[in-house]
Amino acid sequence: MALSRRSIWVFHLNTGSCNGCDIEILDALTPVHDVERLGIKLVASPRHADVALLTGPVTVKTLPMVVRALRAMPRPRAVLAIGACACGGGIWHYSYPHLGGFENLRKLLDSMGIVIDVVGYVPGCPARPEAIIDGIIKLVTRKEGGSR
Amino acid sequence: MIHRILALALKSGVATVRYPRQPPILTEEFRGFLVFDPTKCVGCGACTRVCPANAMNLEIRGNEIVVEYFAGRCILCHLCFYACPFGALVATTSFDRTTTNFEDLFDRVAHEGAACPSCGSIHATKRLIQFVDLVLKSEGIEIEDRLRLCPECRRIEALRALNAFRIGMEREGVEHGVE
Repeated sequence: MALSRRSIWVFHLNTGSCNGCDIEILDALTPVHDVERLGIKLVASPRHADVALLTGPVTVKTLPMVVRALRAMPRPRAVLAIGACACGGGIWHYSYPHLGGFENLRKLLDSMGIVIDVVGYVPGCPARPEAIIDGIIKLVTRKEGGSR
Repeated sequence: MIHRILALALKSGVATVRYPRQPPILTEEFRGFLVFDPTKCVGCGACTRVCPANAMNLEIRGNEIVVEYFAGRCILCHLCFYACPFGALVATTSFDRTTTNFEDLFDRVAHEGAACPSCGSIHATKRLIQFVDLVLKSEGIEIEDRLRLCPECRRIEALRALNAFRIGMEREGVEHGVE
């Protein structure tokens, strides 16, 4: 089953997550959900990636690295915000050392001139591997402008 | 060596769940997202008090009181489902709230607010006050005027009534605290 004409290369970007969502991403990659059968492949560099799998509430400590990684991605950039933290700050949203989810990071990136073309949101604490697969499918159909 | 591995692999079969074509592996106990039923909600705010992640919010906007379920912040603990006295939040095993539009993560219901007859501030929803009236009537309890006030005005009114009572007692020559 092909999602797209080309394979989707994903880059895993942890922005201070508790590792719950990261384990779910690994679950999606391991044989039970084996996303490589759909052409989704994990790559080591953001320069090779079509989609960044962003987990965590974007802590202040990780912010410079997150900005550098997203700037390194080729256009059209797509980001999949995975988990309650990346979608809306999660249980941390009142505390100080983070931006409180991807929406606030996107505003910051816009002010820096880094355009994120498509954003997908996968809520859940942690997000299920099936939901992550759904998210990538929705994101890619949106990115390519196709109907599905 | 390879023959032994192949034999093992053939015996154990395929582990992969072909998810978008096959149904996902879910147990009945799985806590999924909540479905918010706006027709049953009265806007009492019980869910907003128990929610550990503040995914449920009660906000006063002008003349309306808005109850908001933000699925993007929900940690799927189902405490609001147990707290809701009206069954407005239905627990499901659905995990699919995936979207590319941020606004899709919100479920909102706007209730008509009831104004305090003394100061005019919005403090509760009309539906909640109707429900309280119904309960009091069925219990046979008289509805006082003070019940309609906002908590702030009610406190002031209660103190005034207490003070008037105290002055009345003093005039009758009764000492404080002594019968």
